[in-house]
Amino acid sequence: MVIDILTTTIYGEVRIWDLLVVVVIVCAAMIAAKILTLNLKKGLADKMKKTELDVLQKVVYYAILFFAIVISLPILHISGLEGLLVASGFAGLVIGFASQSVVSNLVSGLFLIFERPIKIGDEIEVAETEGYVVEIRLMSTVIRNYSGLYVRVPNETVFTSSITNYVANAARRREVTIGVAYGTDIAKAQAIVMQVLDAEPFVLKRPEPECFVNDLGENSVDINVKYWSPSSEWYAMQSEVLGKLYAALDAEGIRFPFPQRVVWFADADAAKAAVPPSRDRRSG
Amino acid sequence: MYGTHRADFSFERQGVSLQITKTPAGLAYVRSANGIPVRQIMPSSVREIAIHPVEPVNLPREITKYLEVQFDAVLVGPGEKRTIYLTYPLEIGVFASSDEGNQEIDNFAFRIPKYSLYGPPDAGVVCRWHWSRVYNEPPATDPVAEGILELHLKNTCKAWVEVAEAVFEADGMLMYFDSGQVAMIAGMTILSRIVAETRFVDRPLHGGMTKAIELYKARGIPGVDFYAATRLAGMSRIPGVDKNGFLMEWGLR
Repeated sequence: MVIDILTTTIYGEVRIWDLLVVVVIVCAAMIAAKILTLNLKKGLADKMKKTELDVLQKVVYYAILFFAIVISLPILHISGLEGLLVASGFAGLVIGFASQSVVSNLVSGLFLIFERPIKIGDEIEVAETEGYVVEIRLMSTVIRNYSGLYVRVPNETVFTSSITNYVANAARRREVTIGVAYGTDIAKAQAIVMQVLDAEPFVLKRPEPECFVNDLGENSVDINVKYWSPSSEWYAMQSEVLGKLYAALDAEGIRFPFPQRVVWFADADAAKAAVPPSRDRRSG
Repeated sequence: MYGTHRADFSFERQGVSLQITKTPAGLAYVRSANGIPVRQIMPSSVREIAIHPVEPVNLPREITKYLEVQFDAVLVGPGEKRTIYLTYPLEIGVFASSDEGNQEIDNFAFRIPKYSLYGPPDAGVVCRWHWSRVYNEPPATDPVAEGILELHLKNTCKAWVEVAEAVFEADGMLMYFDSGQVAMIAGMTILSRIVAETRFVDRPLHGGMTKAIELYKARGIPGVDFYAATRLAGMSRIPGVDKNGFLMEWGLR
């Protein structure tokens, strides 16, 4: 009975058994491709640049899959590809001229899906729109901006614009300038800053935080603080760390001066003499 | 503290107190820290509450599944095998045990966590970070705060290699505990000066230890079971592909 099922014809000369063979070939190819790319990564990780190794892995993976599909086509009795390719070429030319913008968006969408500079849920900035990627469709990308508004951006615009993906990388750096009063014990202020950063779980241990005097400003000594946080926690860390830095410095008596001017007279007596006497209102 | 409890259990340490009591509604679990209580009343199907050490990558929020242990550099010669002992941080998981399995109900720790980045920002991974001294034998540790990590180093390359950190994937952590210790055993296969593979060994440090509940299994987090598929196909141990393994490709110090 099993043999009867397996030899049942689905279409043309293709049987269920043929389909099973094709599935097994493709699955085996996927497993083999995965193993090969993993071993390539291990063997070449210290011999090639990461970006080049990634490209090589992708090329090898898809080459094996393509080879498996090509092997499978005769099993499914598919032939005569040459005529199909020529016809597709002509059809593509006609469609391209007739609907350039639509096709451009479609092609851009396919490239976005293949290249994956953004994924659903990513926080990005593209075409003057900042927000979260809600959906990546074939013709457009939907973004929910920070105000909760629905923004639909054509894929051609997304693909040809600079995309800033705030969460694509594992970590992001934050830079803060803290102005403290002249006369402050700078070493003490720096020690307090580093203590606060060290106690914060999501201020990363590595890359190490930095704290140094960056400028002797008009009103304050400017201390530059740089630290890294996981990209997913970066925004929450902004206000949390800043608040804790202020509280810790303030608790130790470190002053944060307002913009101010201090005027010094070189000779106080001469300055007083230069001031015209005030007029006696009683005299004529 | 570790183990299963049915009722009338209490524990207090460093301002954190735990209590498990039996109420008419079911088992009641209360954890109090700095005066802020966490309370849970269990359904009647819950027969006991288990308190186990768990993978230390959940607090204050779960943002990674990697643990990085840094230590003083250890030199490993070509072809050499060496065993060192390190410590690692612990988190404590509280589970409601019933016929359906273990359900996590609480997670806390006695140490403030710290995180770090292994690798560059664009391709590295954020890890729970811990600094450890290097020991030649299992050190004495506080079993509610630190565990013992027995690390077997194996240098398969032809160069002398300095190893000063080990990064592990928490999904594969296999911890064992008894009344005085929490421990796990791991291996690091050094492939070159900057590449190594780490994985865990499912074996207790010594006899009489109980295996801890694996948090990711208790949460029912589905894995991409490519590895199970290969085992089903009869390829039981594919060179270089291991379920518990993590490839350290950004250096060993």
